Amino acid sequence: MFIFRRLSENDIDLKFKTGYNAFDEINPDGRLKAYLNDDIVRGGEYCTYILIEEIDTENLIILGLLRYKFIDKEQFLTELASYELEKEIEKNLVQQLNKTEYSIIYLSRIGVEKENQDMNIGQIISNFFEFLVKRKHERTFIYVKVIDKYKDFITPTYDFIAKNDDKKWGRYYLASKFLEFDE
Amino acid sequence: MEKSKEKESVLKKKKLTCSICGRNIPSGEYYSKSIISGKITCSDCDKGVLIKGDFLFFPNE
Repeated sequence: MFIFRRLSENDIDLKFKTGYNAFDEINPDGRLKAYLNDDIVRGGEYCTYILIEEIDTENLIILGLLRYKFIDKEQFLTELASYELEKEIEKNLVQQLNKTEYSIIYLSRIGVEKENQDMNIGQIISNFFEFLVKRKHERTFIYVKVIDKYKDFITPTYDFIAKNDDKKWGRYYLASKFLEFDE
Repeated sequence: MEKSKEKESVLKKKKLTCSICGRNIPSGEYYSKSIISGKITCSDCDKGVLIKGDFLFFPNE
């Protein structure tokens, strides 16, 4: 059986590793405890979802993981100020955010367990995320951060709006999109 | 008179067309909008965030 659900206290000792060292740095022991500590469940900021294959009640495999958080506009604009971005893009972005009320979501990570990669699970999780956002039927601004090496992973519907440099990870980009609908 | 006003307002309302498939996007349906190109993409053509690969992240966030 396959289940997509929020991370809970019961998952604390389940293991999840993607095999990408940079991704896995967040939970070096492989346990989901680190994710749980950052989740709203434990007073953190993130909503974390896991895709599980349940072999039987005692035997669960975490196939993939998704986490994101809601951010208020002022917090986002403060963060944006630390980026290098073109004046025209900044103007359009700020105008759009001020013109209409948007939910702002930072999509923090999507990862797939190392033994189950190359089976489009990442795309399934990405689609599930879109579903979670759209079912609320709110205008939404979504942004992600991606390091230079993986820039090509982002679809063309996302705009690369800004860049920055991190001491450890080097150049990275902020990509975003507005999800809209007309009444 | 009222009917003609309604018609006028409908005509005035800008049609939203997907920049990829050319489909008209009806009211209430989601679409994504680029603030750089101004292009609109309907939900059928918007493939979400991943184009390939199984992970997406900024380390430690």
